[in-house]
Amino acid sequence: MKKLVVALLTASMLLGLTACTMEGKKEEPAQAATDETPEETGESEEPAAEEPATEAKSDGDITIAVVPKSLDNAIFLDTQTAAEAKAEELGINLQWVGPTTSDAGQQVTVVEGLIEKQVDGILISCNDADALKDVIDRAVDAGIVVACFDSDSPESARSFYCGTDNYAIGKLAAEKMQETIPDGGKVAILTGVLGAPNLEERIRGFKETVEGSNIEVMPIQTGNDDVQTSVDVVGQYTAANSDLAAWFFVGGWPYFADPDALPEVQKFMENGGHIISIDTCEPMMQYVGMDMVDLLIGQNYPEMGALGVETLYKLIQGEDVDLGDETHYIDTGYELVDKSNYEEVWETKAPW
Amino acid sequence: MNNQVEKKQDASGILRRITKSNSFGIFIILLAMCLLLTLAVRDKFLSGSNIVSVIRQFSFYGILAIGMCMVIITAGIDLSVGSVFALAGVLACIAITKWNLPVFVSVLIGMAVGLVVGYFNGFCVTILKLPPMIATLGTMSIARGVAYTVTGGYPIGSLPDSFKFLGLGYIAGIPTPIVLMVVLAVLATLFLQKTVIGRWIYAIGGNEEGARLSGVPVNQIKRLVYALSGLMAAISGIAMAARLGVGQSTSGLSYEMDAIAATVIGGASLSGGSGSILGAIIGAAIMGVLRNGLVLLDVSAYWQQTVIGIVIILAVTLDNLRHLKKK
Amino acid sequence: MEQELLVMKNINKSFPGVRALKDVSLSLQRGEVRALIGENGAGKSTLMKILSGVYQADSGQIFWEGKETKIHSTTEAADMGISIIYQELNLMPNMSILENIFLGREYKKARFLMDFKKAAQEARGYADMVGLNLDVHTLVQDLSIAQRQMVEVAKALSMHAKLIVMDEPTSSLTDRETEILLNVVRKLRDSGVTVVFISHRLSELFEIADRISVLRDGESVGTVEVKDCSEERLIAMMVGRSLEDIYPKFDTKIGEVVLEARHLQAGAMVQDVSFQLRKGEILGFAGLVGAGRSEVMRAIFGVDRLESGEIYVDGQRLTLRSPADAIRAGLGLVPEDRKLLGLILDMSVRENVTLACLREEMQKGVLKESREEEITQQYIEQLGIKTPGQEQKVLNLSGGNQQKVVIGKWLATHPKILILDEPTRGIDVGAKKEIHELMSRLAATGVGIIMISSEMPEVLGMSDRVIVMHGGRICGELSREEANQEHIMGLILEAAE
Repeated sequence: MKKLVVALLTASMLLGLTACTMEGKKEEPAQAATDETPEETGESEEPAAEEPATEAKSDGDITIAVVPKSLDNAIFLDTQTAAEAKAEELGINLQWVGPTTSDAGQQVTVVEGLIEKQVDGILISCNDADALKDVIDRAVDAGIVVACFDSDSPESARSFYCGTDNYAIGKLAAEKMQETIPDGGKVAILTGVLGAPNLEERIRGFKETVEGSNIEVMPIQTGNDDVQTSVDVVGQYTAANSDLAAWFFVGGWPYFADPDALPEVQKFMENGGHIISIDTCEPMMQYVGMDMVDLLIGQNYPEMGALGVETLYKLIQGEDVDLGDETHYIDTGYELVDKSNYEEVWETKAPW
Repeated sequence: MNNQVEKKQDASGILRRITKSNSFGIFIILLAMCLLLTLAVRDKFLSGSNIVSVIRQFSFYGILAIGMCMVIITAGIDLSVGSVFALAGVLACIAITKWNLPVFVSVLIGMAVGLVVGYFNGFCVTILKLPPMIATLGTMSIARGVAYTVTGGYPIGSLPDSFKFLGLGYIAGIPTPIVLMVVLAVLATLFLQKTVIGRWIYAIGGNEEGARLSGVPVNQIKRLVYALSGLMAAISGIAMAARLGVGQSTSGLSYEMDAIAATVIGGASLSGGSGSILGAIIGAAIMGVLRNGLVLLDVSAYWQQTVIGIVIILAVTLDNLRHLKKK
Repeated sequence: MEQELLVMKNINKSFPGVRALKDVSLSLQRGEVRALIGENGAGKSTLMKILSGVYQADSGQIFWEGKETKIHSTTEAADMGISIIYQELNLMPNMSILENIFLGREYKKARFLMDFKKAAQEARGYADMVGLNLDVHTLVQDLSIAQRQMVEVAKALSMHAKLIVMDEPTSSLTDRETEILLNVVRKLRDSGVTVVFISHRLSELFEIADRISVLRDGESVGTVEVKDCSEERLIAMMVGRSLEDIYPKFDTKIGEVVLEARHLQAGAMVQDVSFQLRKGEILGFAGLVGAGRSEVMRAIFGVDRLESGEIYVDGQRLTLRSPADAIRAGLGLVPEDRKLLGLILDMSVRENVTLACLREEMQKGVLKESREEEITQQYIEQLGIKTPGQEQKVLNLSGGNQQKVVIGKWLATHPKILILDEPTRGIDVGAKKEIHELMSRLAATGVGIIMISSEMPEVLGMSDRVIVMHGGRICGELSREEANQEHIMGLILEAAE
């Protein structure tokens, strides 16, 4: 019995190994294109690698990889859908690859793999601006066009960044907060993973704007990017601080739960509390109608995917693209959702 | 003669028996923490809704810790519980919303998945002879991966109220997850203290070879224990999906660490042979009260992690000192 | 008068609930070999731990080379020149002989580098002194137990020890290895080192010691010159009574065959082993350490897999997948290493005694505490287990009582066949006798007993029949009448050639 198991295990491992090495050998000359493009069997016979780089590639040969912060973050699903649609429209190949959790080290490894595969373009949302700078530069050296979306690495050699100005969003939230509670009061802040650059920027924007005003910002609470923890922290903190005037959610974590799971929030709002939250994902829309949030400020995730891929495509094809000022920043804008417009916006969102 | 002496002790010494029990020390630590919090933020901490909220919060870790405790008593470890937690929750939700199965059947499917993954852990440990750390590290990744794959990363919502009852409902005025935890803890305690298999579980952790030579079916028992741990993780994960009203492939990330911490705070030794369910639940309670206290005390999130770590080390150290003194 | 190296005067030491030492005095001359004997729990280890600074005496004086001193720590003791070699050796198996000798005080050339050349030279010197003719770079894990002990002695010498205490150094050595060790001890004595030798094997004490000091229940009974002393007198001093008969073997009615092994084959150490065991019989297994005796028993008990061969109990063929199957068939095994294999040390006397019989005794798998207590009480009384109560952890019992707990565990399963592997190793004389008596009584009730022992007198004294093994094979079988030391050694030597 034991021997059988051992034999089976060894056999399967050997098989796995040989399969891997064979795959590697196959891929080297033909690149990653083989499994992605079934329709162009005839052309793939030509040794693509020997063609001069200056010559424009045929669209079917172009592969763009989009790398989110992590594959487990549902927020990027809108980006994925939009990017894939755009790629289909342009007739190019799109790879959606990323680390399994929000980890800069894992993300570096993913990009290194893409350099090995010699994709044509990379669109990446950086877990850490500094940690990814080096590998982005290496990719650019290897002839890959790299751009950032959602979360930038400004010091790197990336071609452009398309996304939200996180500081501006935080500032906007603060201004809207001041409009909502003109009399001021205590405002609590809920964030996700501590140290994530985009979240920290929003908090900075918010805090610097309300500084000196009648709004008192309480110590920051975290839900660790976990829905349950966020729900519990918000519930307990709200119940414990009866004099709280408002919440600023730096991301929409509590609203990924069912409305029934947030009785404290319901009570808080009924008693005259206010909440402004970042993000406008589909599940969050119902909360606007239920008066459980005053205002949602959404980043334009679909636009980041579509615009990012399109601009990358143009750069790869050698077209002239206007990349704005010297920071090469393309603002994808934001959307505001409140009770007046949530129904229209809701209709545009793909249901989760 | 011995008997008489023992009976005499029984009469006068029930209190002593309680104070000498292994869970007493950490129970005192828990009480002390509650007392401190009461003094610091009296009405906030002691309000009924806050207490219920805290208990409900840690009941999910508590249920995980029940299974983890049994595994740790056998000198094993189960790193896969956080992933099984997510997978079972997600599958139960899929069964309800996508396959249109009755809630009852869907919950059973989720629990069955927990049992199967747990049993697979046991198989890896006893037949393939992998170290528990490695085997469950593997299944941790597998279960999480399957959860991602079946959901495509999307949360699964619009669940019926009969399902949400498991996480949001009340039984006799007490939230369902708390009732679940208490019932499971009592059952597990009876299982460990009052059955032959329970005794065997402790014996395996105390001296595996010795237990085998005394006729204990070591491998079967180990598989059972890992399967039970998987089952507990599944129950907890299903209750969580019901509580949030969504099944999420990302839920339960690093919950295994909370479960291990709760168990160890509760007096279990990672080298096996000791530990109790009551202790593990108290350990989970300490973690829950601590988190709540930090929120109530307005401690900045940037400090909370650090404080939690310090308290874990302090609690276990204090308890160790007490045991040393006893010797 | 010779100059006294060490005098300990009126030493007292108490632990909670126990008076471990009462007014114990001991004086040692330079260059003598002093044996220290007494039953387990007599206070030998406590006295030596005070000497080495592990414990401090509650009262009493210690004079070292004529000056009164206090020994506060083990390092202080080592600096003074006191070295203790414990039964459980303190060597690092993954390091070389050289590294072990200098462990903790490496030769320093530059700040962090060992001066290997000089150290190796010196280590070789010490190794030669103790007859360790090996490359000093050999790893300790590749050495035999006897050789490891030599490394400990060499280490003591390298620290310029004037007094070396050896705690049961021969308990796990073969006769030949013991002889080598005793030679080294003689050499040490001749070079002026004082050696305190703790052992249960009286015969070797007569060979090596100049004088013997006896402790009993924490008190000094006396010190005698070896020249004018007999074994009987020593035993009487140790136990406080004379032992009429060292081996209480009764004549019992030997019945039909209860266990039969046919052509057992399992690994290198079990080669074509066949034998029969009858009801009421004590069957001794003799041989050198490593002859394959324990391996045969492990195979019969279902611990190790049998490659081929058949086992019959009461004429029924056994299929063994695990010890549980063997237990169900009526077998019990008291293993060689009780701490590692026989007991769950962290569990109570009650939990250990009932561990093997739970399956049979408890209905529907539910524990009944009253039944457990009943069973445990029965064996505490029957075997005379000295314990403060059933809930005492076995960890805290003496070796003899621990062994009785292991035996109690098997008696509780009402075995037809009981296998005892080195049942009296490391046990004091009194408990040893009790265990021997128990074996005789058990045999009289019809239990078939197999006893493995490396103590030749025990095998000869207790067995109805003796099977001799060497190199995994049976090389002879002797009846009680035929069996004697020369005969058995002859069979072994024959097989070795």
